[in-house]
Amino acid sequence: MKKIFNITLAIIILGVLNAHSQVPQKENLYTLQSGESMVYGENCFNFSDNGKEIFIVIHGNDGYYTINNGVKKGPFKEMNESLLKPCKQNNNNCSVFEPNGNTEFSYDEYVKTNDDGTFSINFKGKDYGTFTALQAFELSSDKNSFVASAVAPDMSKELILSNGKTIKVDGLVSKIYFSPNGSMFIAKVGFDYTAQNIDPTKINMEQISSYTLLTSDGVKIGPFNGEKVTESDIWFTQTTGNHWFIRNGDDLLLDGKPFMKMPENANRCDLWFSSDCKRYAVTSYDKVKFSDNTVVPYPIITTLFYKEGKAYLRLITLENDKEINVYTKAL
Amino acid sequence: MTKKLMCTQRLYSKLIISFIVCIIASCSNKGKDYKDIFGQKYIEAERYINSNKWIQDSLARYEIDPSLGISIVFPELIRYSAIKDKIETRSLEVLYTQYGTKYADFSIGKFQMKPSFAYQLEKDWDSFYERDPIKCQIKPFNLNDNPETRRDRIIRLKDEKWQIRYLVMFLKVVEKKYKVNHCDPEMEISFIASAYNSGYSNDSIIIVKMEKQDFFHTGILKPKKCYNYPEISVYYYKKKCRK
Repeated sequence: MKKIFNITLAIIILGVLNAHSQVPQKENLYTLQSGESMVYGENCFNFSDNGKEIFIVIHGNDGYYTINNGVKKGPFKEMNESLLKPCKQNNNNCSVFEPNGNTEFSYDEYVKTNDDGTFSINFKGKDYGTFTALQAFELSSDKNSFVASAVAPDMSKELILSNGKTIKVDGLVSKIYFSPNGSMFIAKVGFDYTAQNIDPTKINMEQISSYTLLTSDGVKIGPFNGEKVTESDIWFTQTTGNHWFIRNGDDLLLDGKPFMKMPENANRCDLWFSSDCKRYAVTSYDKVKFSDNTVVPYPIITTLFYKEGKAYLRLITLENDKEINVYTKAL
Repeated sequence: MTKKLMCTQRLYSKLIISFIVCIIASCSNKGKDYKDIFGQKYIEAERYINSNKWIQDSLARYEIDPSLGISIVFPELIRYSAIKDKIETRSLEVLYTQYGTKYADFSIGKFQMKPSFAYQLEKDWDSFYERDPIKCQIKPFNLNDNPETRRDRIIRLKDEKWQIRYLVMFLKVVEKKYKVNHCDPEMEISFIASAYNSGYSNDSIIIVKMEKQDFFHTGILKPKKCYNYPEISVYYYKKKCRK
């Protein structure tokens, strides 16, 4: 009876441990033969991984070879642009969500200057405004919604939302960050030097550079020192939906609240979080370390991909000078 | 007699034409308008320098003539502007950290410096500058070759302030290593630019020889038409001095 209990307990413990510490799945992609080496140009590596297929260019004794999902082709006598093409695809090394589109272009496309010098917005056939001034216009990545920062005819400042709502703000909006699916935004609200009642002799640099953050839920966070916490210290990630991050010196804030210390030598691109932000991985030149202490050494390519709605990291390594391996682990 | 005179005249006119052709050829070669040739890439490089005044201030603080220092790396800024969208060095940075230059030695940053170049400079800096007052501003390096020192080198090379420090170290080491002609700034720039582009560890005879060669291009692969790196440096310097 005691033996059965111990075995059951061991199975439960192993199960719990496994759930929290999944060993990355390892697979050998290719083993370099004698005289073979991986090919790279001056500025990029001929190795692409878009989450579906892995493409490698190698150089052997008799020329160049391509290996596409394990299928080796060649030898090719010369290296040409078509072999170099995959380099451009290796842009998945950063966890930060980068919105599509160009802000200036969006402004020109949707904002109209009227004959009397006022501004209005025409978005998907609907008119918004008029406004005395428009300071910022940001379109969501799916181009289905916008947020604009406007000065109303009574000189009050407000955010204009594409759903028809307006939000009063007590400063100048210098930047709007949309979440990946556009359902949330953060506005950076800074010092209002256009306000009528300010006394220039009583303003100091700290006041001018300080700002607060206003979320689409109406939550106000801050103030932050603009000299220390810059625009690039605020970001959404590719994997965490509407959760957002601020780096304030060594501290990392999640949704405006204290969360964890920034890992040493890491920049914002190196932090990969699970969708609930409970698990994470930190990439660096010498390893990827997961929050369950799993380590994958020297990841030359880090790729994010989704399987059945779950985010995975795929890490390609060169081990023992010759084994090209791929590790896969859920975030 | 008349026939002989006519013949001599013809010979002279041939010589004069050849001479004029030579002058025109030589002028057109010397007088290439690189701003026109590289267009937007040149303008972007110029804009970067003009909007980052700290670079000039930093060079001056290290007792380097800013115009000279910037001229040396200016062609690399043009190249960087041209290829910046195609640059993806993370994999190479990892491979260099893991295995060293045998696997990856590649150009990093706006001045397109390679880890091997930085390592050589660090070695020379440590040995050449024992009593130099500038030395205290750039401390000696850990020259052990291991993943940790290689990782630190990559971090430095990606930092713009360190890129300037490496440029300063390069200029100081070259000055110490070669008897650079300071009387003619254009000759000085041409020689130093050649050393930067072709490798400053080379013998001065080779650097001078390389000064005449056209290796510079702004593509990923080498095209048929290349340009002269030192000539672009001198062109930028002359344009800058005329302003």
